[in-house]
Amino acid sequence: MSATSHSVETAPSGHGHPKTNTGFSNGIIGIMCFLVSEMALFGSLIFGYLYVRRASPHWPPYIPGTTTQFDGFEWQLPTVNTVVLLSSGVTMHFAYQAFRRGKMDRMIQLLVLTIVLGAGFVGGQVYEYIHVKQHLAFNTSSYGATFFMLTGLHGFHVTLGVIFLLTALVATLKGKISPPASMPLHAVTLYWHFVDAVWVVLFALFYLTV
Amino acid sequence: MAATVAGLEGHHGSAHAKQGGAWGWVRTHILSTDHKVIGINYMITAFIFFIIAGLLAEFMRLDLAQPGSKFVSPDVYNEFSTVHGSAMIFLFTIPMLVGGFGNFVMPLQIGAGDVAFPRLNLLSYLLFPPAGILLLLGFATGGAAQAGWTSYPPIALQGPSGQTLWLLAVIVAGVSSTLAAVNFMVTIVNMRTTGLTWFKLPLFVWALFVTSLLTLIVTPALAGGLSSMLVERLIGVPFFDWRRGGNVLLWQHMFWFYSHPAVYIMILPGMGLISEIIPVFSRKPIFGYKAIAYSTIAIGLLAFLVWAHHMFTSGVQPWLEVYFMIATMIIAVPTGIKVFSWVATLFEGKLRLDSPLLFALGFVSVFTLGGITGIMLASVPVDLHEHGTYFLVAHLHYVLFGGSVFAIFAGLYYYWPKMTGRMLDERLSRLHFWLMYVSFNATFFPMHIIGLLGMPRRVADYDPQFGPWNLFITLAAFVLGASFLVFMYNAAWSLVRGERAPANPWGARTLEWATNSPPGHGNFVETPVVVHGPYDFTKPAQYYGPLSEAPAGWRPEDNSSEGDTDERH
Repeated sequence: MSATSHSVETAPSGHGHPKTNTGFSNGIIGIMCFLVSEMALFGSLIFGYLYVRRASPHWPPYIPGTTTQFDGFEWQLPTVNTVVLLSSGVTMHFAYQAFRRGKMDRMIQLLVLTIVLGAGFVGGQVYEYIHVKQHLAFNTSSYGATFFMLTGLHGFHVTLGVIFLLTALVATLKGKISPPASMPLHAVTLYWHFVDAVWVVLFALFYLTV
Repeated sequence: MAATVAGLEGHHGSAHAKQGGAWGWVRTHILSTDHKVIGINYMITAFIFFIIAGLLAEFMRLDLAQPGSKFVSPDVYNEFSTVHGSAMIFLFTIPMLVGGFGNFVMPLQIGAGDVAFPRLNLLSYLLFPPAGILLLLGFATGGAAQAGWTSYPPIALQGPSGQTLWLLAVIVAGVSSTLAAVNFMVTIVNMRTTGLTWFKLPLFVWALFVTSLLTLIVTPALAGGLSSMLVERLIGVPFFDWRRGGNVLLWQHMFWFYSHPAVYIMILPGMGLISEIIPVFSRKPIFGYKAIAYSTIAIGLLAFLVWAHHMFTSGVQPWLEVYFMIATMIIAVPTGIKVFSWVATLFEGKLRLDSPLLFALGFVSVFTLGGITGIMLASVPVDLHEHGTYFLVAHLHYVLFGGSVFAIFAGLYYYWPKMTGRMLDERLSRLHFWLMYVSFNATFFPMHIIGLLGMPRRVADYDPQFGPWNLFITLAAFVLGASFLVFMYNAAWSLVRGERAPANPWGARTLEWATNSPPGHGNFVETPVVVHGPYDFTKPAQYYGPLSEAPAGWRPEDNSSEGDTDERH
């Protein structure tokens, strides 16, 4: 995702489109490979959560020195947050569609909406953390460890995504991105959908099960 | 991309050379984005770490020469063994094969001007030396990592700050290899030259493709484990602490899900190099090209499914042990296909016993032995007895030294003329081979025996009955270390006095030999066009002039898609 990765090499040569073996630009295949590696990173930590959960004699684990357990998360705020993040995926999709058809005003409106929804999700997560921390800290037990590690890593990705979207917005307003094709914008769209999909899995793991 | 190759400008990066001065030198030789310069820099850096890690091994052998830990304290011995193993794997074998050979050879072999993302490639390289420095820094900050290269908790959660530096080092090295893997995947998938279809790819490219795919998936998975352990060490987040619901076995799963495929990351590119060398020096097309390519893919897929065979003594459920035992033994099938194909290529070939082939033959012979002991260790009842002994040390070194290191030197002797434009002294090269081959076996073969007799591994001291064996092993290990001095002298001599290398000194058919030695910036004057397979010695070398002037019969298959359908709407 770094800016170095896709600035030089996808510059169209001659007739506007570089000729590649697959027909896809290097940048898009690169971002797909990058997302595969991201999946593996989340996958490894999700495996860790499922493993400690299954291997622990009690779940949630006893708070050390006691036989009391953390009694699970409240589902209301995270459910709202899920709706917010999934809606941002929809607005992002239509923003990119509008861009490809050259409807720049519509694209900018949808992009701003996506950014607001993304930032709203991050805000909701911060509120959720403050709330959860009263019952379950990151060092209380492996439940807290895996919860904060996974949702924290995800929140970090959403924050990065919002920064990417802001960058794309500025570039669009300055006229640096013009339709019908922009590899960086396409890459950010794929990244945003990926971050959405990861959240669905995390929501199911932490909130839809006890 | 491949269609717009710049003209040859003499040696690499001459565009910057005119700047002169120290900064100019740094820009052309260190900050160059040319894949060949980056590849050679990877090799030089990795070789420096090889010397350091090798010296650590010699110090360990010095300590083990006599019963009773006399040379260093047991703690320092643990540091030496941890840093030796970690450095050999993360700082030598992987960067040498993937970063070094992958970078230098692959774009040339597919007829591309460079990799897909040259600046990202430079970033991958620039992350590599800091990883090495972090790993070694522990010696200066009151104790390097001591928990072994596998870094099992709870030991790894205690121990000096060097353990934290170890985690950081492996994370940085992992980021570097993941970025390189993205780069290589895109380059191989998207930038093959005209006519170079998948089943005309040289087998080294196949190997690097599967290696990159493995790296892309398992290295970030290890990063998950490493960062879990890092936050547990730094701020007490309980992933592995059982008192707070954590689990020590979780680390072993996370670690071996990476580290078993890492064995293939270290051996597949080596096998690729061997598949390049054997047909050239037998003057025969390789036997079973498709079988070797498919077996590479099969090894890559099976690599994900066998990790817990490293954990038979850690307490895995019996039904899982049976599964992992069988799955592990199945890997012997694709590996065997490769070995038989190499032997069949050699059979009735017109062998030219130059140093690259000698090292390749050395590889096939010792690697096969390492593979056989691997099947022994895959068997649960055998492993329960042998896992904690020197038998495992012997197996590991037959696979990683006898396999990867022999392949690396086969590749170095093969590609030296292409990389430097100079020939090595063949007599010294053969001397290096024989010294290394004999002393390697003298060092590691007896370890099978003392292992079966029950000598435990990873301990600085041992029962006096093993004294004579260990003295012999230590002496052999010193000869083994000295054999690399022959290589270093040969290399230095070649760079100064060596005969100038022609473009294709070995008479090979792959594209890297269809350009100057060393190739200039941009690699090819004209985009090469591929019509024949890579090992077709009955046909002339590949045509690499303008396509419009290609002689009759040189019509390549179309392997490209016009335009960027993905972006075009």
